[in-house]
Amino acid sequence: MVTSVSFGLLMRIAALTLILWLCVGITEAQFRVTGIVLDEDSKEPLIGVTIQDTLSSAFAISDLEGRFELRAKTRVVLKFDYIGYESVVVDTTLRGNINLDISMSSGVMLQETLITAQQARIRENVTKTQMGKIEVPIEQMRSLPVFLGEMDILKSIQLLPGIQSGNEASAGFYVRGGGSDQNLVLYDGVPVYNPFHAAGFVSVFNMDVIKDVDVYKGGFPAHLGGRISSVIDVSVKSGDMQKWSGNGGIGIVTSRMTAQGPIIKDKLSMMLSARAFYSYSLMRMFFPADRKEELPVYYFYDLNGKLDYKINDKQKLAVSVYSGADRIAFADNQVEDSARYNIPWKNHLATAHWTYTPSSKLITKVQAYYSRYDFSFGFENTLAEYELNSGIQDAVLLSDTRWFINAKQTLQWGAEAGWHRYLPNISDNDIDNVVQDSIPVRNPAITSYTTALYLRHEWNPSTRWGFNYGLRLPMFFSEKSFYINPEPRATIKYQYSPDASFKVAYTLMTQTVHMLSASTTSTPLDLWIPSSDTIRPQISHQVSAGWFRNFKDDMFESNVEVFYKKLRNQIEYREGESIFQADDFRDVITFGEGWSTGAEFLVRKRYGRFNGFAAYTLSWSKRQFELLNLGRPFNAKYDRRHDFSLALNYQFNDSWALSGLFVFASGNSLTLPQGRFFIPGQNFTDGSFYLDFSKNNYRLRPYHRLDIGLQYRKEKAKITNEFRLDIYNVYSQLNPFFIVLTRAEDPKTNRTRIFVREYSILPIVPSLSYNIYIK
Amino acid sequence: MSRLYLLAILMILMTSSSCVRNIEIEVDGQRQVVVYSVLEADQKPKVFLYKSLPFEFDLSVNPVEFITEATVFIIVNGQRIPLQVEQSFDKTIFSGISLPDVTPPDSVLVTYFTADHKVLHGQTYQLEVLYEGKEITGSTRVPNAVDFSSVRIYRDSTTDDEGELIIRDLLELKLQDDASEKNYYKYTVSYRQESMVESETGPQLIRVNYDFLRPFFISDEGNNGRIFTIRFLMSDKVNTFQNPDLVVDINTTLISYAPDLFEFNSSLIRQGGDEELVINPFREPVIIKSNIKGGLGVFSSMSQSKVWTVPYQPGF
Repeated sequence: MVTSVSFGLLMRIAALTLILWLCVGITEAQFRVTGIVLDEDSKEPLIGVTIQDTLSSAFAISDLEGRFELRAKTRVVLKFDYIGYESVVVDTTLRGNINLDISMSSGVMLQETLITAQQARIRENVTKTQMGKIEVPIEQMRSLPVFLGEMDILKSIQLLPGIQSGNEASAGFYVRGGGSDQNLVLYDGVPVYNPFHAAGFVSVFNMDVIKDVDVYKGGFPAHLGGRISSVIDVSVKSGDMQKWSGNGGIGIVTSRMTAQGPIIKDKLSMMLSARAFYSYSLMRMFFPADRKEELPVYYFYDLNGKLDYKINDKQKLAVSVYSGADRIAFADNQVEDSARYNIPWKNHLATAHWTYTPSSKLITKVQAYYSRYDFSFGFENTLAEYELNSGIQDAVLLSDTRWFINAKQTLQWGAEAGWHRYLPNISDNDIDNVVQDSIPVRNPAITSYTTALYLRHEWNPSTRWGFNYGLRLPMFFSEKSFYINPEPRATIKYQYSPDASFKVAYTLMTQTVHMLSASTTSTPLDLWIPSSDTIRPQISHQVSAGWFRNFKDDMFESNVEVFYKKLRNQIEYREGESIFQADDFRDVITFGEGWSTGAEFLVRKRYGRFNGFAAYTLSWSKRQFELLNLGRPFNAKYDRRHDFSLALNYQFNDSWALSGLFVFASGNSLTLPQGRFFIPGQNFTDGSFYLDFSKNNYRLRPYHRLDIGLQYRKEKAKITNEFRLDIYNVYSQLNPFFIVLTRAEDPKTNRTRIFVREYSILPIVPSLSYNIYIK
Repeated sequence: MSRLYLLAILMILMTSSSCVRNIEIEVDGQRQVVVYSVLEADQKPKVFLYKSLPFEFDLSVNPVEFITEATVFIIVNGQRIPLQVEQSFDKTIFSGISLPDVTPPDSVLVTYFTADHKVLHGQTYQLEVLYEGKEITGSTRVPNAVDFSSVRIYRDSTTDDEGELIIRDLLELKLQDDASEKNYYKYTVSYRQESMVESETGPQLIRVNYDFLRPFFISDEGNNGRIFTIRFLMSDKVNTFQNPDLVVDINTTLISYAPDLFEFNSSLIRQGGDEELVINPFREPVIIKSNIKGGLGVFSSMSQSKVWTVPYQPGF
């Protein structure tokens, strides 16, 4: 048994928390104004509504449940502003604490309303005691150029500072030097293990069903855990409780359709959405009949559904499901005994949320979810067949409670318990020598259990100072191991002016799930494996500091963040090993550590005809393993010195808009021989020539491209039509995709030599798409 | 209908433009000085110096550019011994490499540095090379020779999966070494065939040695100080030997390796040479464990025990 907790330390932290909490309770306000802001039609809580007392300038912003709280004197004139909604003004005299439930209706966006609402929301980056969190501006992202007509949120967030894409068309992204398995991607609170379709071109998140996206890359609050580098929290829209509406889109490669509305008005609503990739079927129609079998098979689909049931004024229930699958299959006729490959993968998710609001001060949420991911890689020819399966299943029950003690303090606590089943199977067989009835399996399924407790306290003693701190206590159990690792978290804010603040944060995160992937290739051949007696949980310590400043009446938002992250218990394949050689994956892995550091810069113009943002990241990411690279530190695969993106959008009028996106990124690291040498008389192999290199010693060429998008939108009373022309990679830059070493005859000398070939797959790609929105 | 037509045109446009393209890139690697020197107890030191080759090197050209303009010393017991350039024809040095243009056939003129000095057991040697203003160094302690404590061949019987009796011959090697230190070994097993052939001068005895198995590398990690037993199946199949009727004996020897030589050779085997990297892109690359500062290769040492000869006639 392995434990890493000190009971004394826990007691001291608990005592300190209690003392701090009791001390601040004394400074309670004279009158409290609390309440909930809801959408008048759907009764959905509105997040980010600005509530400002125009007499005292005190203001609050509604939270995830639409709740707000502020302190006031005897009279208040409260103005509620929210983008796209008509402002509400409440003028009242206070004789005590009051509770206000406000409904806001969407209406004509007045310029004044738009600006005011935007200002308040932008100011959150300055005023909130939270670091490393980005509330993704979905509408702004929606206006950017898209690839093949399909706007994608996970591709869009890779434009933000500190978040790096892999390479072109690769699944996965990398946050502050962490690995792609260190990102927790949540769909309505449920982890998605492979959130990408189609080799990373498109994510599983259909934009039509996304409500909000929050990205955490540091300063993690205590209720978030399970991954050590980032959390991408995607919330799904609920169906409208009042009226039916729908929207759909037709693109070159995908089409989608969404419908939502009430089943029982004001009581039960539903949302259904479907998206499918159908290019394969279309191409098959145009292919000659005798060559149809040569066409590689590729398709995917997504199905989303959500039911919302309002039990009473204090309770509601939501059930959300997602199902998606991909399949790639092709034949390689270039080789002897023509081979067939079959690569399917699937995500299935289901969750139920019960929300209970006994008072305006307390919200309790209970959630149960099931998540399943299956991946398979199959190979078959006349001599042999081979199959690699990787799968993971989670069933988790969790509860979360928030207590809004007063205008200055919020207490949050919760617990969760989960069952996890991993299937890192590898099986193979020689058809020629079949003696078994079934294909032998080399790695059996593994079951593990996790639990976690957490407590978070947010305390803003004045407008200048803010403290957000907590502790998470995750526990992991499996057949032979037990781990408990306390995770302290803390963020401190100092706001030295209404539009500027400094923040510092420290977080410790642990992760008991690991992804084993080849460093030499970017393939989906990844195995998810749990911690065990020999595989210790991954740990990250992250320290970050940031300066947040808004300019020109919040028209411009800017921030600079610096970070240092230490990673422990990282795993990689040992030298000379591969997934195909492993009878037991534990025999081919090795352990090490890593660290990353960097600075992130963001300037964003949020509104106006001409808007957009520029993001730049300067970073270093290293790894060190005793058994790799002779024990010397080496660049992480996605160590990237510079990462820059510039996104601009110009709205000509209500119908026409033009947008542009330019990205530049330093090349990724990879291992390539820098020389060859022979060893006298040591004919250990057939070659006698050996290669000189160090791990990740080579860097691919920098990646850059420019995309342009033109939108035409025509709004009518009931229907809005939108046409998009997008051009991906306008100047057809041949960006590196992957590197292959081949031995071939050099046409110049007619002698055999080794060539290093770099493949690029996406030159200029125009696309046209059509979207329809029915009110 | 017009929408479908438009869609089809765009599909064709898209698929034609997004084809895979490849470009050749040059890996900008510097040529490094390679040292290969394995000191052998009671033998003269031999240090090979040559340059590494560009990665994309043409396989059909003589691959080795020996360095002769270097100053080379070995240092032992405070004594600095200069090494001199020597050349000789060698038949084994390029074992495994196809060299079409060498003269005389099957051998090649090799250059190395040597001195009139017998390498001593248990001593630490340092290497100093000065070449083009650059210092290249290495260090090794010559291991003491350890010998097998017994070598024997015995007959064994077992049953296969279907219950049939199998008679087989096993070669058993036993060794026991010092428990206080890590030891590394290479051992070889070969067999000798003898035959009489008629020649112009009358009947002549021909002896031929065949490697029974490739060299094996072992360490006594986890077995320190205890008796270490290695057993080889001499096989029950006829094709184990070239000509079973002519086999007269089995020869085996144990060579004690310095730790860095063991690591170096192990990494060579695991890397598998350039073929592996080209053939298997999924395999993690193996980095050669060089102990040379300022260059590549190895400066290490070994001590060989006696050759054990066990009479043997395959009994099947």
